[in-house]
Amino acid sequence: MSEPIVNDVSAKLQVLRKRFADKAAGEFDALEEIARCIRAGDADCDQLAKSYRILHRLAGSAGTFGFHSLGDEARDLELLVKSFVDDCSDLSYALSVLNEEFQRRLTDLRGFLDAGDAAATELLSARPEGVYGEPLVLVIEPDEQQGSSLSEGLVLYGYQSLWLPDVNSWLREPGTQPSAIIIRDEVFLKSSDRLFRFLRDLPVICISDTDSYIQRYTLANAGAEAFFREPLNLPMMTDHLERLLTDHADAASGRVLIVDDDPELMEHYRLVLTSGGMDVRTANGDPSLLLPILSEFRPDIVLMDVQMGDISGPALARMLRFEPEWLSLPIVYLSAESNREMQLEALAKGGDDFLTKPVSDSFLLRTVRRRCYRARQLDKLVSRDSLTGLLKHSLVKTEVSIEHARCQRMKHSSAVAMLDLDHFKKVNDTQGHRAGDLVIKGLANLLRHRLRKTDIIGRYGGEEFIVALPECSIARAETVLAAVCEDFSRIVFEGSGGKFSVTLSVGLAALSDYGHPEEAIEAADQALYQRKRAGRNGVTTAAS
Amino acid sequence: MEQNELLKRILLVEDEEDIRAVAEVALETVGGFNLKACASGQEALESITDFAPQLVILDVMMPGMDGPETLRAIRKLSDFTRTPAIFMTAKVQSDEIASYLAEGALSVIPKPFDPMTLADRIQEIWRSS
Repeated sequence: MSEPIVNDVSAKLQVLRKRFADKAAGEFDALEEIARCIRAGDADCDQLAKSYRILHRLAGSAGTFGFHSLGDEARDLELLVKSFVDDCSDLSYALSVLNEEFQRRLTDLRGFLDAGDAAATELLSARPEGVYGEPLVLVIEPDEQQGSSLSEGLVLYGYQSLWLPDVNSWLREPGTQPSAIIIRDEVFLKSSDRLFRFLRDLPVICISDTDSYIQRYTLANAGAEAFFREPLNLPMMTDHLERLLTDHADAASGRVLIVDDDPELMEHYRLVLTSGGMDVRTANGDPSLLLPILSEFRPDIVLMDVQMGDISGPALARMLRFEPEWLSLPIVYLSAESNREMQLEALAKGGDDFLTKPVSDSFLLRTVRRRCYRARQLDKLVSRDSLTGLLKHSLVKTEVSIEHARCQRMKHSSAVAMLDLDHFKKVNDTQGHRAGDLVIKGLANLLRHRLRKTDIIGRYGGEEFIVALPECSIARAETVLAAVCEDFSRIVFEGSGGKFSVTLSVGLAALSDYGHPEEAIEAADQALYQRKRAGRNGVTTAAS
Repeated sequence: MEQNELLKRILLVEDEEDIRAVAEVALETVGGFNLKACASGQEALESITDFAPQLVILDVMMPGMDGPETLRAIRKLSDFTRTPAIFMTAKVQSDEIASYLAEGALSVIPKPFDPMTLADRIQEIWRSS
């Protein structure tokens, strides 16, 4: 969805939200009047029915306008009143129950309305969820102006962002699942306990207007993972943020194959690892089943028992190594064998490490996590571009070819695009290579966030990128990429020559319209060339 | 059965003015539908023939004619005996939902709804109908 529509919608919703609040204030006056009658003991059944109707309406509509707590509380009070409306035969009993309770809850309700409880929900819901995998970053900053300007800056880099003045206001936002937090240092020190109780394992970046080693140590000790001093260098900070997010995602996940002949033990390991967020498969050691499972599941590591009945783990490991594909797959033996000589012998046959049984659950989980993490990092070194983390040239071309084949088989349309930064050589010359690298990374991160998880993104050459959008019409691809160009041009970088921005040219072609993937890439490249000649900064689609 | 026809015209019957306004944003601006919003069952019956909606969305609790009554009246019009309908309600006990579905509704959307995702939800229901 392009930015202008989103802004338009936010603005309209904002107006409606205000109108709703004004009207609700009038309804509160009516409820207050009924509450007064209830306390005085002279409210009648009609009045109770009226309060029920008002509460029912609030319960059904407040959430739509972002007043979630107000809606929830109104629902509770509505249910309380409803029983007496359904059966109003014993009015004096009803009034005695409601009495102070009704008034008290009403006051709470009004508080939620006055607090405008979710001041920032518009930002949150400004993008339909699930369309893009944009990570949500909470900005917790007491100063509204600084907080919201930082938050707006992050949006340009392809994050969703939500500004909140303090930790408590986040706790009142049920359902928000942030991926990272940027927080004012003194707020963090005061509330790190509470924060981590709700958000375990979440990367925290502290910002501060002062800087000393003592302070840095204090923040690190409290659990902060990064520190930035004001004035903030946003490109640098988002780059760091991106690294933290990938690291956290990698560290918390992993694919583990357990090979053991003891079903109970295997089930136990499976539970421990699964509850730690790992993806687990099990196999019983039958040599004929192992390779098919490996090919299909593609684990990061294998945990293997040393002796499974007649089957020897080390022999099985050696058999796996017959296949060049599994030469680098880490294999960790699980065994009661504590004789170091025997262990070494088993390792010599193709294993990587030994875990001696009995092994505690937390030790197992930590070891497996670390192993998976390392295995993934290694794999990335091989297949990913080191600066951007995107697919390397040769791999991305393979992926595009695979998608082209899918198009032909499944008869769907997909798009391929070449992207090139405008006047990039000049950036490197005048702003320095460090700044140039940040620009490249900035575009890589924006693409990662704005495109879907299933889209293929690669670094093609120095400042050239390629993306393939499976099952995506040319018109849709054009909209999405035009929005990327627009947002990218608004990012402000800082280099040795001061602040600057960079624009982006895109050539687009329908991957599915060409007989060979190379032809589609060539067409996109031609379109890119036309865009460069037509003034850069934007998208040109190849005529097909 | 799956709907192949593209959903364009939606008739909304909702007595609350602010919900009608937010539904216009949610369905016209965000969703790209052509929406006709009516304030009562009576108004809906008067304009349904001219507008010829492909889908009708009705609030359940309305003064005068409520949602289910309105739907029954719409079903009596020969052009709209089978027009798909969705109820919106702030009450979502499962037995109530069952009774609305028994009235011939495709689905029930609980209130409050999120204006940013309402259109997607309706498309989803439409496609699977």
